[in-house]
Amino acid sequence: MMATLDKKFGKKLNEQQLEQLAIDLDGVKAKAMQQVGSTDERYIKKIVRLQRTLEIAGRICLVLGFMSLYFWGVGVLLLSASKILDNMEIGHNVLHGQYDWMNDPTLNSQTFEWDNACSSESWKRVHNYEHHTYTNIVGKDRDFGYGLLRLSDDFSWRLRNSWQFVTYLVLSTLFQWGIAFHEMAGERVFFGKKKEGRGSHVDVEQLKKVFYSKSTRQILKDYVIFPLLAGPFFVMVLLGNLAANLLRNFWTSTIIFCGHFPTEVYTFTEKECEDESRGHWYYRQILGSANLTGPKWFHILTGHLSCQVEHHLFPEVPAHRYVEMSKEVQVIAAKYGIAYNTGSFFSQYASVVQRVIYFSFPVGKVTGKKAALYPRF
Amino acid sequence: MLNVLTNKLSLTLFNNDTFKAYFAPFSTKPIAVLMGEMFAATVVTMKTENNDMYSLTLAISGKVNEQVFSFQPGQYIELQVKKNGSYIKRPFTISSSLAQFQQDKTITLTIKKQFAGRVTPWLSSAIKKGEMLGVSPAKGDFVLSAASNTSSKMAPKKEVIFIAGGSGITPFHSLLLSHVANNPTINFTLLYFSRVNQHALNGSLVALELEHSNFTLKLLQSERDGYCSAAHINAVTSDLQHSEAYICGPNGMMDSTKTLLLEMGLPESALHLEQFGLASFRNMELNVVRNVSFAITNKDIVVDEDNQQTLLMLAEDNVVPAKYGCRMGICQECKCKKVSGVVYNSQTKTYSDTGEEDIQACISVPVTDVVINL
Repeated sequence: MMATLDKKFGKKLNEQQLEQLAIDLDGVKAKAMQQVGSTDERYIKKIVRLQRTLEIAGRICLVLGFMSLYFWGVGVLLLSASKILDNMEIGHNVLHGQYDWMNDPTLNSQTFEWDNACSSESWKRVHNYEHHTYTNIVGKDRDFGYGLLRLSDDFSWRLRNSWQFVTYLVLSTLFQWGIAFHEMAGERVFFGKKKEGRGSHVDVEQLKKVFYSKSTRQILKDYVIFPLLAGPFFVMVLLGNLAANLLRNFWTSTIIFCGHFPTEVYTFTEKECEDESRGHWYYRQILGSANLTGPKWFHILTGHLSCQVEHHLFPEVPAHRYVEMSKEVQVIAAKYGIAYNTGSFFSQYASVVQRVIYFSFPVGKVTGKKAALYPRF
Repeated sequence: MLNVLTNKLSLTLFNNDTFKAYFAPFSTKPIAVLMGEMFAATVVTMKTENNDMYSLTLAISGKVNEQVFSFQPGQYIELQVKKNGSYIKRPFTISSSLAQFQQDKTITLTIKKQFAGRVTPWLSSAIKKGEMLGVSPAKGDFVLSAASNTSSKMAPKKEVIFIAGGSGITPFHSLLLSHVANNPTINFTLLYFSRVNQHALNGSLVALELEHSNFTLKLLQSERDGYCSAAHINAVTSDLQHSEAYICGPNGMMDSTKTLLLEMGLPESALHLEQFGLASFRNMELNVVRNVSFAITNKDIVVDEDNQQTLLMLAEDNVVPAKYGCRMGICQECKCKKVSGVVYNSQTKTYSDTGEEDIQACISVPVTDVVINL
């Protein structure tokens, strides 16, 4: 393993330090896992009850929209809050196996399905496997390599990058469909050449089948069945569902971009991560992620992806513990002089916008002061 | 048909296989009961039998998949309990009679505390009267065989010998309470080996012997009498060739008794054995030859004592289809169900429980015999 350079502190972490880092962080994880038990069960059940209540109330309010438009507006907000909880604090975390120890089949990573156009199975392969294993390794983690946006100087500029801020807004709007299509696009299922060496063991036909069946179900639900159940208020409910889906899309997309693309988040090359040690993997997770600060309700609505650093270090620890764990992680990061990226929602989002816009211009290799803003490992 | 349709609708509307699953978080019922996989069982009493055994009486109600609960004496059930937020299933033998169940819909489980175990030492103090648990349909074939159960009055008397060791008494208690009175043409004998003053359930066994001439009870002390010997058998029957024998107890005792009876002329078809409970596990029992059974692929392999390969590697070496991703414990793609046995988590450096649970194949090394759903 090569010695690694910390740009902010100009210090090198040698193999021994990386090993010690792994021991320290394993300790944080072990301590948290020892406490996992009925507190976590009560917590996730409470959130699921809240989500169900919001969903049912939201759908009722939408129908009541014929009495007053206020009802319709409240219905949209409740339903989108329900979808956000379902996708983030429940779905995303359950699919990481955070609650598998409960042996509850309704909250198990192997059986859980969420209110999202992307099937759980596909999500687990692309997100849990590729993204979490190869975080920010350009070419292996599709977040940085998927070609829609240019977010680092690892890729050369193309004309279409000029309007990539608009592309980004469109992606945000259609976010669940972008996610659903992610794996198929990576496998070049519908067009172009299949990329060699993806190491994928998914059958292309299977991919298509799952994509069509899941997305059909989602469309049927929000745009056919629930509106039909509302009878004469068909259009109102349809538009309400559409609005709730859009709000959820904007929110999840924004939070995910804030966790990964503020300035000062590091990118890596495949070569740098060959035969990586556990300590180096941890090191990369801290450097490759960014946190958001905020009140408790904010953390819950982000699915605790506001603690992206902790989530990337400990993806299988129940997420509501991340806020507490982040205190210890920050102490450890400071001990080794590892940059720990955190800030308020607005400052982090501003820097995401800055990154998207900066790389839409034909800048080449980023050097000088700017290199500290868009660091490469 | 209607079921399929409503489930399809539930999946489309709520992304849950059933409406029940969607509303599950609002329910306080055990999950397996709610999902219709297990019967609901309410705790009636908890009674201490001796130092390390206790009896749990449960009233069984409700239906599971339109079935009504029933059992044959000698069978066991799986009990689902919730400990520290986690549902755990454990098999326990029914020790009570059929009559008791017919009378008030209760069954009694007589449970031995496995002191290193996660469930049995905890359960007796944690469970409260009136609490609801999940109970599986009765399982197992350690029941009175048709060969011994001939009700014809003309047939010659049959000899049935029960040999129990320690907590292996539980199925016999149920068998005897249920069959002695109804089968006057059978001579039942129970040889019950246990440490001195540790014979469980002996009160009701002694009463049964007093009431019925076709039942003989021999309480033996392992300190004084050792394991089952030819003398013990000869003392209770002279016609082993025409007897049926049932053995339940510690593995060593079962092996030696089985060999003894076959040597003495008992036909193999007349021998019935019951392996019960989960073997207790200590960390020292490492580096032994282990059997790994891949249940879905129907493949059994033997792992050498010095083989420290993970379950994923073992599966791949033996052409067992296994999903995988990162191969370093991060992504959970290789997650699979361990049905039984202990595995070592090479990342957290901890040992798993003995029962059913989800594990990551890529970082789990089998420590004991294991059964994996792959």
